[in-house]
Amino acid sequence: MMLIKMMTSSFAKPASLEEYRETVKRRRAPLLAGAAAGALIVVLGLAAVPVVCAGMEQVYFLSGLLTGMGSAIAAVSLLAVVKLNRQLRDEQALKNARLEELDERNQAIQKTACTATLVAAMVALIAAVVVFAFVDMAVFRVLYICMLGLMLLYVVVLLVCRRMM
Amino acid sequence: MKTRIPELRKQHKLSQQELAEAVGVTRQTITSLEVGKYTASLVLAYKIARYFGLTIEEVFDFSDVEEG
Repeated sequence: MMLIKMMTSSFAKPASLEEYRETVKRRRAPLLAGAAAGALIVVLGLAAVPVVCAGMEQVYFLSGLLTGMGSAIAAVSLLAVVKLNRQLRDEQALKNARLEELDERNQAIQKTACTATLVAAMVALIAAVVVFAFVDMAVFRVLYICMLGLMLLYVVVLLVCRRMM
Repeated sequence: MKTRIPELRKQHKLSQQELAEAVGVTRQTITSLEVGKYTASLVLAYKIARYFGLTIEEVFDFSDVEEG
């Protein structure tokens, strides 16, 4: 939900309540897609994993993991859609949601939290890369690619944001 | 940053919630401004000053803000 909010509100700030109502309406489609993706993951966990990974030691673990993950994604997405629908019906709830979202202190808190999370993730990833260079070459390669990908993503996002501001 | 918001609110007999609604922020933002934990953006500072019919300098004290 946080990601969808960022995607739909950071680039175009809804000035009026009507614009915000349209923004809230637009948020339902990606959430429903998320619910569908969650349901698909559940199906994969219940039907595909036992067939594809048959004979593997962790087949039950993998099946349970995917089923649980998919259920959680679908449930959270559907709850978010219900919340958005309630906001669309209740004018006061919509006003409150708009105020909470456009409040400049809340936005500053979110930016600080995102920056701190990115820094912590990068530090943890670099530490893990160094450790796994001595422990397991396969894990090291995966982590190294993730680290480079994250750095590249940061640079791309930074350049996009620079062009927009 | 020090502000005269609490004093001005008392003068105008306003609650934090009422001021927050008038300038389009949450009550928590007004609280943070009053205790100096948060520094308002130029737009919010302008809205608050205009609401009280004052200039930004008359509401916010910039004396402890470093230049440069």
